[in-house]
Amino acid sequence: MKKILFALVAVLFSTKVFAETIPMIVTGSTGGGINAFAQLMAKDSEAGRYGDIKLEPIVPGSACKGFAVVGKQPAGSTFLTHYENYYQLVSKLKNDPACPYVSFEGASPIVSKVGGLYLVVKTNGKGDNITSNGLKITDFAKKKLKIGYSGSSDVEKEWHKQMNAKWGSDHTFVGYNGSSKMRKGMASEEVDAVWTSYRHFLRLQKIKKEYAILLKTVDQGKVSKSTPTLGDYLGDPKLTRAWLSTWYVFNDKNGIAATIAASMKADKANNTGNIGKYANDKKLELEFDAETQTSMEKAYGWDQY
Amino acid sequence: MYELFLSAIAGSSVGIICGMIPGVGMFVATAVLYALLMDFDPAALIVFYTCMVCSAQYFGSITAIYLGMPGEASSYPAVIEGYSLSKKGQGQKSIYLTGIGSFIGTGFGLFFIALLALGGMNIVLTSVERGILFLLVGASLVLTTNNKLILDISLIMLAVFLCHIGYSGNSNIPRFYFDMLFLSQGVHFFPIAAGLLSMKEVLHAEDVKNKKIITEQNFKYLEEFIKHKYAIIRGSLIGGLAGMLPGLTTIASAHMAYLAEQKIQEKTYKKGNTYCITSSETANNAGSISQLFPLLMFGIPITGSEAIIWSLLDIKGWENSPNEVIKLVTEHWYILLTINLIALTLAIRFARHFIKIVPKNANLLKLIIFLILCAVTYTVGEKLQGYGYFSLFCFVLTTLIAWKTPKVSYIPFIFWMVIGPILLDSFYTALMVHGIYGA
Repeated sequence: MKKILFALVAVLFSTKVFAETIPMIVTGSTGGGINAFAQLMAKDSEAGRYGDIKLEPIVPGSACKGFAVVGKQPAGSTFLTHYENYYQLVSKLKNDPACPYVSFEGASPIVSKVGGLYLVVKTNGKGDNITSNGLKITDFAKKKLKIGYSGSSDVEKEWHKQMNAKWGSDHTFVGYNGSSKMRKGMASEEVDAVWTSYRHFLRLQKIKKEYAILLKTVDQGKVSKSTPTLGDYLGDPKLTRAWLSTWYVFNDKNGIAATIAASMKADKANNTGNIGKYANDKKLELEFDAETQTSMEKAYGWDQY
Repeated sequence: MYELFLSAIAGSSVGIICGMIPGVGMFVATAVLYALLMDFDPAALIVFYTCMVCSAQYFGSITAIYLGMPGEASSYPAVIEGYSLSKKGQGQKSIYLTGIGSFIGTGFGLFFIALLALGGMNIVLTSVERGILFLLVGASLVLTTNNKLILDISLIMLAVFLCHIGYSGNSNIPRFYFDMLFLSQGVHFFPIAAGLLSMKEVLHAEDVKNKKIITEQNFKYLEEFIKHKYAIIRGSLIGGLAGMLPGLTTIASAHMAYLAEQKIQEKTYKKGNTYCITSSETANNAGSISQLFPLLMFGIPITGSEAIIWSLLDIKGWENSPNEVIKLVTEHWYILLTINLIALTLAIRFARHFIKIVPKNANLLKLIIFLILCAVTYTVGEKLQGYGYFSLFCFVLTTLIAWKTPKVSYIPFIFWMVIGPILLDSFYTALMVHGIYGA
């Protein structure tokens, strides 16, 4: 009996220790979209969708912590990590060694997506359409509301101030530690509205069909064309914000980025694999072409507007 | 499906070891297996943990009854009653009754938490409410220790201080790291818990003396079951409720059911009472399921091993909700039922063989567990924070502390380290919601 147990433990350990995996460092919160995407990529790699490439998610818990771990990777080692225009700006502005700025120059992009932000409100039990007793867009100019954001860096605070000035109101800024906590805050009704991703809007609707989108920052076809964009509505295109989110391979060997990208592209087209189904379910518009992805970095930035 | 069954079998196997080997409790097992468990899906992890906890209860009573040693802390009533019965040649009867009781207790526990979750389907807590709930659970843990109040308060304050190190919270930028970069990642609770809880459990485990197992008497299975049916019902009810007591869980379940049964059997009670042992062992299985409720429903781990499981679930992006409770019961009930049936059969039919895995001299085992935990804490620190040696240092230091302070309970301290960051987030968010702090 003892020998059997010892052998069982030994086999379990050896499969773990000697398995060759590529670290995939998640530079976001545990409950956010970056981690969700990473976990699904890891599942697909485990299922052999990327050939021999096996990915192991490493989740330090926040962007700063994630990039600190990126900085500790041995020189020349191959690993995946996530680029986000928002973090790049925050880390540049802060210039803090605990929250390092990492250059992605020379790294190979796998997949990119542009994620718009959506102003989500509760509709007081009248379904997902704004009705007379729900919060209306004009209320933002009349009432003092509590508005939730997924973080509270100066970048978000500045955006909030700029919008307040345009609304002509003094809405309260509520910054959460990650988008999932923000979603829970909205569900508990401690805030009146949140600027969130389409993914979290869908998750809110899963709790109750009582949420609606009042404004969007970019027009991506996820919501009705009649939903106004923030820039148009408040008459200032500089208010537009969008997440540019890209998975990169550092020190790519044997075309890892291209292999994963090709597999993901096929999965999305065929609605197969975890990522394929997730992307279609959440209506994600993914870009797989390496050159286009690199050029997108210049087109989307929180600081450029 | 296949993966979930494998997780269930793995969990059950680990649970057998936890139940049978003194010093290898569920916290030690989850800590030792941390690196492996990082690969598990949330669903597989929950099934693994549930099966581990259930199986540990079945097999914890075997060492208690045959050797007079509690493999699990919740098996103390089984030591008092079961070992006496075993010496009278009624060990097999005790194993049978506790096994049947445990099986029914598990079923009741699942039913009970599903009912609770259905009742709380629409509960979504605000930051303030969540903070208050965590505070209450954290404060109630103090009542479970024998520590002096001043020591508990000091330990909680230390935990809150440690949680602030590298805390970035809603601001995104780590703070309070005193210009030492390795502290900017914060002090992870894992190496500290591995030292203060796991190694404490291992270091202070008793050696098994050479004890003989007495020849068994025959008994009628069905008749005995019918005779003990009310003890089983009482044990299920008490265990289901007491299992949700933070820090005590199965221990409270077993002891409370035991005391209640002793009171009921007052007139006829003599050491070696089958009703008492049946009720307490039923209760600890019902408790082993209901203890999952606060974790799955509110994301509150109420035992050391749950804290580890929670941290693993968290890095997978898992989120607590009533649906998680319903899912466990409705989607995985047949897996849990199968594993419980297997555990029941193994416990009843092969208890005497399983006794052989209990090591006579635990020193080598202690050393092996220490070395494995050194490797695990280093690996976890290196992977999650990029500072493996700091993690290893924390583990070795806390192991020394645990060794030198055998009477101090560190469960409230570890609990506060786990919930500290969540509590801080809730606190700062609540301040912003009420316009006290923010833009």
